[in-house]
Amino acid sequence: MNATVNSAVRERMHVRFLLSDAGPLLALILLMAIGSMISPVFLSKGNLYNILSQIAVLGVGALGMTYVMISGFFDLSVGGVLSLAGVLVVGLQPSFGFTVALLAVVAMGVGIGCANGLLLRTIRGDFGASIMITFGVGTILAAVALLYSNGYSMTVQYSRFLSWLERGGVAGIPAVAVVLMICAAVLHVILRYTVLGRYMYLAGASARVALSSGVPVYTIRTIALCMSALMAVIGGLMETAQTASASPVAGVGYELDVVAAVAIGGTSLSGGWGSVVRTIVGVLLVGVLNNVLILVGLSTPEQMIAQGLIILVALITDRQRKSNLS
Amino acid sequence: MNRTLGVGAFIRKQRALLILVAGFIASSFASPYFLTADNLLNLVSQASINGVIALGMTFVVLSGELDLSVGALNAFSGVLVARLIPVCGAGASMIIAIALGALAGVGTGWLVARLHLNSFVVTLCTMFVFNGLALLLSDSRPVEIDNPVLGALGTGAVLGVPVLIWIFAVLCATAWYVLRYTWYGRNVLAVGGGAKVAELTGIAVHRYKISVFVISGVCAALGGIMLSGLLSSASPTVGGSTALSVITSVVVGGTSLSGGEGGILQTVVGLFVFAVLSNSLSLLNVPSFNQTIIEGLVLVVVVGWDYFSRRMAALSRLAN
Repeated sequence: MNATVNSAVRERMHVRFLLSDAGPLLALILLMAIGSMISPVFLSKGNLYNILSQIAVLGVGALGMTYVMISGFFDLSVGGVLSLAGVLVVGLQPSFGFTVALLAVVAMGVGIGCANGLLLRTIRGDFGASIMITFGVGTILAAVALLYSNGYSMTVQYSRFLSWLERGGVAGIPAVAVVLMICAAVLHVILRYTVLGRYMYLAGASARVALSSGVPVYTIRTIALCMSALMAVIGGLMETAQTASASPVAGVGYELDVVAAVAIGGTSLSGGWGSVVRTIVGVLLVGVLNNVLILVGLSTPEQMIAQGLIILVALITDRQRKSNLS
Repeated sequence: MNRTLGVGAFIRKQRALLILVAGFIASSFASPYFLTADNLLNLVSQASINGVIALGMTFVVLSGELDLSVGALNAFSGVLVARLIPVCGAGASMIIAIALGALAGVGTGWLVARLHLNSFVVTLCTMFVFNGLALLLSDSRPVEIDNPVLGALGTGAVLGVPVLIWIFAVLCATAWYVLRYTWYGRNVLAVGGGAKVAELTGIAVHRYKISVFVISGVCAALGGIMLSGLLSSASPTVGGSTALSVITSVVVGGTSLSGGEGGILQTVVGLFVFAVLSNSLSLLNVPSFNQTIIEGLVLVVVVGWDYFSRRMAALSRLAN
């Protein structure tokens, strides 16, 4: 008798837990329902295509940031990386060809990630240190991008890869979204099914416990920072392709948009908790929200206000439902 | 154990101050114009606006939180004052702007203290909101201000010292006194040092968390008013990088981002490290992009050095 009651309670708890956990997903579904009611355009093929191509740059950055945040750090250098990757790939192409330029910026991304990681490892940095150090590195990179381009936007020369990113696609899905999906799939599998992924959670949940059980915390975090810089490079390539020019200020504010998307998805800022799927939901939420706000006819400032308020409300309701549960 | 405080220990304790003094001496050798009264007054009055915001941020950081919305609030209150002055005069509009800053602080603080939301994310959202409001109020264009009161505030001088510096100095002294000698200041530090312990010793943690955001909101609004007085115009996009550079000043001075450690003097030192740096680089005609690179390097080096020496200290404690 008692056992059946217990299992029924447990069942109910389980369902409620799932529901509470799915807050951002429910919000996304709700938002899409509202969108399709408000505007007949919303569910059209063209509009969905637009949403997918608009979230890609944000999405890749958010994927990388997810790794960094789960492992217990923070990366404010991604904006600088994005700007620098864009201007470098455009600037290097005429003299070295596109392939070399591409390899160079990818190497640059990995290098910056390693530099961030090694720096933080040397000083045994904590969460706060990762904010300040990556902010400093990001500031430097943004300035280098401005210096390299003399502060002007640089026009893209033709290359097959960039024009594929701009116009191409697979089965009606824009190429940038395809790249985003591939990145998401790879990062999801690593995070979910490999030792490296489990170490990420361990390092973020408690650096001390992880260290004393033999997890190389700083190496894991360095890998996370490399992922995030690499994703920002991919974001820079997408941005460059989509705007057909590389702006040295393309990445200004990028890091904060990315953090917002990851946090809305439900990945914890204090580490050890989160997933790629959550982040994708968060990114979709931001993308759909922006789209709906535009369809409603809000001006850019009004969109900013609405976006800030809606995200805030989402965070509050999510938190309240969770505290009701516990 | 060796208890004498040698030169090495002193250097380790006062890194930012040493860098400031070194930068000051180097600058006065590098440019004959640096040590003139005009230039120094100019340097301090320019630093005083971010300085006021940094004072508020110090309280927030000491209590273990962050406030990213100060730049947006700074821009918003400047634009608001510019818009309100024709309607209700300088005094009332300044009071309204500061009151709104305080109100924003109450809201943020309540979300952080009562709902236990992360202050980084909350203030990120309010940053979007206030940026949007500033753009909305100003039609995304700078608003000109022609008002004697605000003009006097921004460019006037008393006893040969600009009003901006007086405001900063008075607020500095007040904040220093409050943090150092009152129960309020002690409790803010206690809350930042460990909210749970503070709660157990009977401190109403949520009240302190709300209060630090109110202080920060008021300081940000005041900074916006001072800035629009100085420029006699208010730009809606002026606060883009303010929050992070203010946090940088606070941290470089030696206030710990994890809370409970630091103070106003540290913030002032951190502020002037960057003020002296950018002033002397401008005097030496270093292009602005290179200046940014140097400032970024200084940030990385100082924060890195700080953590590194703490690690070394911990290691030597272990060895003893």
